[in-house]
Formats: sequence, C-alpha cells, structure tokens
Amino acid sequence: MPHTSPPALKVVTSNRAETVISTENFSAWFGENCVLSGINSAISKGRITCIVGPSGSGKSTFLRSLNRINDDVAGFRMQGTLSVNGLDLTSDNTDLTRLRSQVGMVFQKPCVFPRSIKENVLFGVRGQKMSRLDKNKLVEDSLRSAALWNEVSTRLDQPATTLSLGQQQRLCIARALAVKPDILLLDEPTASVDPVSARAIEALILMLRNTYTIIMVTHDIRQTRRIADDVLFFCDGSLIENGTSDFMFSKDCTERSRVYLNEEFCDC
Amino acid sequence: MLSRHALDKSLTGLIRVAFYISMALLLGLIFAISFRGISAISLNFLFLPARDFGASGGIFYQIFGSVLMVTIAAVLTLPIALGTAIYSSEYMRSNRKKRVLELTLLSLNGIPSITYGIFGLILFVNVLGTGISWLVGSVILAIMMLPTVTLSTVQSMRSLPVTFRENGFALGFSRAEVIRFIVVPQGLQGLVTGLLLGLARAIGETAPIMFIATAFSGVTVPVSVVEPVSTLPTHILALAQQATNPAALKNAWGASFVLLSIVFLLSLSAFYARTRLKNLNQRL
Amino acid sequence: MAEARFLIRKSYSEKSLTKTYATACALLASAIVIIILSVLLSQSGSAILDSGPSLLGTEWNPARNLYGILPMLYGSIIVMMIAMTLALPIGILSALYISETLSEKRRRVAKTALEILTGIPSIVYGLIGVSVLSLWVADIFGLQTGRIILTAGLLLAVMILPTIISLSEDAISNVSTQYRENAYALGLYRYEVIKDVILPQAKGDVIGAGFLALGRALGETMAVMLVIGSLDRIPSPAYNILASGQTITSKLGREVAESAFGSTHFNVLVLMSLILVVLTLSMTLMAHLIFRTTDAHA
Repeated sequence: MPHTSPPALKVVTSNRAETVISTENFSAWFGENCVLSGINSAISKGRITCIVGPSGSGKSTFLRSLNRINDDVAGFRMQGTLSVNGLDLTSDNTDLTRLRSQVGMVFQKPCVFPRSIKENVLFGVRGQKMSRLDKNKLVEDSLRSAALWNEVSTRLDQPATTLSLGQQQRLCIARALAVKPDILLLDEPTASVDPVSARAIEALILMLRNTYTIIMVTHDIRQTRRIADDVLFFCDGSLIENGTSDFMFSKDCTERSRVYLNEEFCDC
Repeated sequence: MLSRHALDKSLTGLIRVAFYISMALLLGLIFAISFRGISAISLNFLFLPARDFGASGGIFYQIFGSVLMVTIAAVLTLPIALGTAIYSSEYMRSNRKKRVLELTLLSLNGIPSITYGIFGLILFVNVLGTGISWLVGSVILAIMMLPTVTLSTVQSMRSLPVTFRENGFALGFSRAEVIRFIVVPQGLQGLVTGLLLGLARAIGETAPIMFIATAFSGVTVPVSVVEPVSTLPTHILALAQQATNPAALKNAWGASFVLLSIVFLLSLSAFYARTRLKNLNQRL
Repeated sequence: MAEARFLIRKSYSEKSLTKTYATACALLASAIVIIILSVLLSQSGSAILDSGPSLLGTEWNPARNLYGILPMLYGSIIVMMIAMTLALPIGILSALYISETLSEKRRRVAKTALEILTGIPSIVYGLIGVSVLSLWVADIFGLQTGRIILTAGLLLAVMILPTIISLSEDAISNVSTQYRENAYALGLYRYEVIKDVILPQAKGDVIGAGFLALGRALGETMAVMLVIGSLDRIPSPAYNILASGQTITSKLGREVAESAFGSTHFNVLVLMSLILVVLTLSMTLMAHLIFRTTDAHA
C-alpha cells in the first residue's frame, strides 16, 4: 500500500551544490493505479544521483516524469509540484520542446534509428540551422564524450544498426549529448548490454559528471556504490530515504534502506 | 522559411482538418441515408410486397430474398471454411505452402464482384444450364465469403498456445481428437466473427447476383431452387434507375435504410462476437 | 496387446476422415481462383480472334462489329486516379490524426466506426450518387447532367476513404513506441517525429494500403455505373472530367445481362472482365506481398 514519505526526514545533500530539480508532494497515477505518492525530493547540479529500489517501486515513472515522456502513456496523470531547471512541469503550458532540449534521456533498450551513425547523432538537432563544419564538429564532440569516437570515426556513414548493443547504447548517449542538455536522465542504461560495455558506460558516466547533472535509475546496487554521489531509495511508490552515497551506504541511514542497499531485500 | 514551431502547428492543424473532413463526409453519409430513409419506413413498407415496379408498396419479398440467399450462403461456406482452416492450421507444416494458401484466399477477395457475377453467369446459368436460380446466387456469395471466414478462423486457431495441443497429445488424443476437442472450439470464435462479417458484406452485394439470381418483378417465395428471388440491393438498383420518380426514390431510401440497418447489426454482432466469445472459450 | 492394436487402428481411421475432409476443403478453396480464371479465359479467347484489331480502337459499336475497349480502359483509369488523388492524402492525414493525437479510448471508437463504415454497400453509394451528388455537381458546374467522370471519381473517393484511413492507421500505430519516445525525448516537434521517424517506418504498410484501395477503386461497379453517364467515348479533350464516360465495370454492369451468351459482344465483355481481374488481382497481391515484407522486418 502506498503511503506518504515520513515527513520529518532530513534531505541530506551536499550544501555546496544548487538544486536543479525539486519535487514537493508529487504523485502520479496510471488510471486508477497510484504509482507515486507524495514524493519530496531535491536533486543537485553536477552530481550523479542514482535512483534505486525494487521492481514496481515507481523509480522509472519518477524519472520519466522529469522530461514528461509519460504524457503519451494512456491514463497518466500527475499532481503536486515538479520543477526542473526552473520550469514548472505540472502546468499544462510547459514548453515540452524546450524542456527536452535541456533534459536528455537514454532509455534502457538502445533504440537507434535506421539511419547512419552520423545521422543518428545529429537527429536531435535536425531542426537547427548549422554549417556542415559545425555539424561535423558536433558529431565528433558528442561521440568523444560518449567514448565511441575511436570505434566509429572511420565509418560514420554506415547504418547504426551494424553496431553492437553496447556501442548502440553509447550512440544513444552521444545522440542525447548532441542536443547539449544540462541534465541527463538514464533509465537503467547498462541493463541491456554486456558487462564489458556496462563498465565502459559507467566510466563514461563518471567522465560526464561535472558537466552534466546525471540522474540514473538502476537495479544494480554495486553499480550505485561505484558511481553514485547521491542516492534516492524508492519503495512501493514512496521515497523512503535519500542522501549522499556516503550516508546511504553507512550505518547512519534507516534500517529499511540499510537492508535494501546491503542485502537487496525490501519487504513491500 | 517557417520556424519549426510554426511548421509543427501547421501540420497539426492540417491533420485535424483532414480528420474533420473525413468524419463529416462519412457521418454525413449515414445521417443523410437515415434521414431520408426513415420517412419511408412503416409497418406496411416492411411487410407488404412491392407494386408499380417498386414505386409503391413494400419490400417484404426483397427482405425475404436477401435473408434467404445469405443464410444458405453461410450454410454452404461454413463447412468449407472450417475444413480449410483446419487443414492450414493443423496439417500444413511448410510455412511457404501456408503462405501460398493464404495468398490464394486473399486473391479471391481481390476479384471484383461483377466478375463473380459473370463467372456465375457463364458456368452455372449457361454451361451447366441451371438458368436463373437463387441457389446459384447463394453459391456465388458463399465463394465470396470464403476467404473472410477461413482467414478469421485460421487466425483464432493460430492464437491457441502450442501447449494446449501438446497436452492433448500427451493425454493420448489422436490428431483428429485434438482438433475436434481442443482446436475447433478455439477456432469457433474466429468462425463466428468471420461469418458475421462475411454476411454483412454478402447481403449488400448487387453485382454478383443481379443477372444470375434475381428478377425484378412478380417474385414471391420461390418453390424450387431454380427460380429467381428479389433482393434488397437489386431492388434499390432498379429504383435508383427510376430516380426521377420521387415515389420510387423515396422507397429506394427506405430500402437502403433497411439494408444498412441489417449490415450494421451484423457488423456490430461481429464485434461483439470478437470480444465476448474470446472469454467464453476460456470459461469452457 | 490386442487392445492396443485396436486403438491404433481406430485412431488411424479417424485421423484419415478428418484429414481427408480438411484436405478436400483446402483443395477446393485453392482451386476456385483457377476455375474462375479458366472460365473467363475460355469465353474470351474467341473474342480476340473474332474482333482482334478493333479491340484497340476507340469506337464501340456492336452493330458494326466494332469493339474498341479503349474508352472503358481510359474511364476506369481516370476515375481511379481522381479517387486516389483525393482519398489518399485525406486518408493518410486522418490516420495520422487518429494515431498520434487521439487518446486511446477515442482512437478505439474511431477505429470501430471506420470498420463499420467500410461495410456500407456500394449500391447505397450509387443511390446517393444518382440522387444527390450528381445533382450537386451539375449545379456547381452548370452542366446539363451531373452524370460525369468527375462525379464517379468523387463518389469513389468517399467509398475508399474508410479503407485507406483504417489500414494506414494500423500501419502507423504499429510503429513501435520505442521510436516515438526516443524521438520525443530528443526534443523533436510532432511533425518532425512523424516525418522522420514514424512515416519512414510505416511507409511499406501504407503503400500496401494504397494498392488495396486502388484495387477496390478499379473493381467498383454499382456506384460508378449509376453516375458515370454511360458514354462509350474518350472525352475530347481527354482531360475533360466534366464529360460523361464509361469504365470497364460500368460497361459490364450495364450490358452483360443484355448481350446474348456466346455472341462476340458477350465474349468481348468477358475479355474486359478478364483484363479487370488481372489488374485488380495484381494490385491485391502486391499489397499483401508488401504487408508481409514489412512484417518480416518488425
């Protein structure tokens, strides 16, 4: 049964970073089904925030609300306050195109368009007028940031479908980066790829850290331990606890969080 | 050059306009027919025979003829469709051959209705010498319905999970018993749906039957199979050709409304069958 | 032991019965197309021999043994072109509206309504054409009669519209949500997502839908027959769609019943029907072959 977060929980974040995303009493439904209830959170700029929790806890729904990609899912509605980069996302007038130029997303399953590698990278900026020189530079910069340039620089015109899954996922990251967002949302980005590619992607996430604010949903606690700055722990539609990674993995957090983060067990 | 935002607004507006045009045309159609047709309907209209070449009187025998022909057509199609569906779903192993059979049936669907009429005229009325016969009309309609019914049945049989069949075999059923007790009940949903859809189409057909099964006047209930009947679509055709006569026109609208109502009823039943029978089989 | 043999024999003979029945049905179903084509061929063969050269002419006059089928062929093609030019864009755009804009519940209502609308019998369209549409057209263009090529094209456009919308909508909806979400997440506008992601993926099935609609447009008889004006002549100038004309189907509809079986007149009509079948069958088969190819890629 979903319940509201225990109110007096202190939100432990680094004092030096500013908040770019904040929610207050945020709830979401799919039809009659309440999937998130009363979420109060604040996410800091330039840090890697990992969202963890058992299946069905609402983590992906929360992430997907941050760029309003849930809008097209039948029966979705939300309530409360959700502010991203100063934009109020719960109003009907939110400029979604502008929002998504500031907030990029990489999905769990790599989805490359049936085009060349170069065209995939440039897909998000197709509406913008750019000289060929600028375009080529953007492609190279994005692919370098995504740690893919060395592998594909000689075959940019080949179909993106010829890449391996791990490479495709990095291509999706490059594509998202090309739009030059401030915030990156990653929905279990390493879940569909092999362990070697997963490590490569983790390494590149760490490289992206200060330039971008990264929010990542993951099932992998060890991955969280390796790369997270801050952790949000969801269970059954509620935000149970959040704090810096040091805090959450120490003995100072609540029993429930400790049990989940160490033994991956949650009795919801 | 327009900005991206302006282009987006334009296209969104364009598809909305297109949709409204479509809906206006199609719903306007229904409305026009109903509006003109209802005024011609009365109990007399439905139950009396036609007079003055249809300009007055009713359409009783036309309704009768239509119902008779499509009922017999359904009776003729059903066993063949079921058998073909069983063969395709249970006895054919090669995917390529299944595809060929499917394409053959789809070709039948692609033949224009007037060609069916000409085919019937040549083969039955003349070469086999049956003359104008309502039964021949039913046979032609049955052939036209065959692809729809067969493919619908095959689809519902294919939706049966493989484990059902395997469990049947494990219990010692022969293939024929598996088919009879497990596969066919599953296929019934598709059979009924396909049949209703096929009937909805068949009852509205004019061209296939207009020169092999129907006559315009003096027709009542046939006593033999080698007699013509009168049907709603052919009646409407004859009345439409007297469009300058307002009485005939009025009756044409009335007959159209009745025909359309029957077609809609059959279509709605088909949708009902599609959703409800699916659950029925699970309960069995 | 003996019982086992008895059981085996019993199930074997039962199997044969069902199998024989099913096989016979399948053979019959498969044979029908061939039978139809053969019957048509048998009756039309002599037509070519008897009136060969005149067939390619433009004059149709059985009394003088002239059987030019070009006016009918021309009529069929022109009417089909008018119908497709109108119905295809409106249909595809409407399908985009239904698939990309409407909520799931409304979409289902629209789809059901469309399926029902595809079931309106063609004779009813014919009635509307002859008593309403042709009069409107005559008024608008100030003509003596509204039974012209344009009217037939307009009527046919409305007839094939529900089919085009329904099939195109299926094609467009089948494009997987993944592509849509990834494209929207990049901040693309709806028209860009439609133009660059959805339509390229749906292209195959939409083209298939177009071919099916084409086949239906060519083969439609009752509606066209009542409003085309039945004039066996190519209009002059040829692009004058405000003139009466004749299509293959309208010719057949009007004259098959009246020509004597076995006469050259009849045989030429059967020949025209054969040409029609070949055309529509190719359209239908092409459509279904395209459908399966796009399925294979999915």
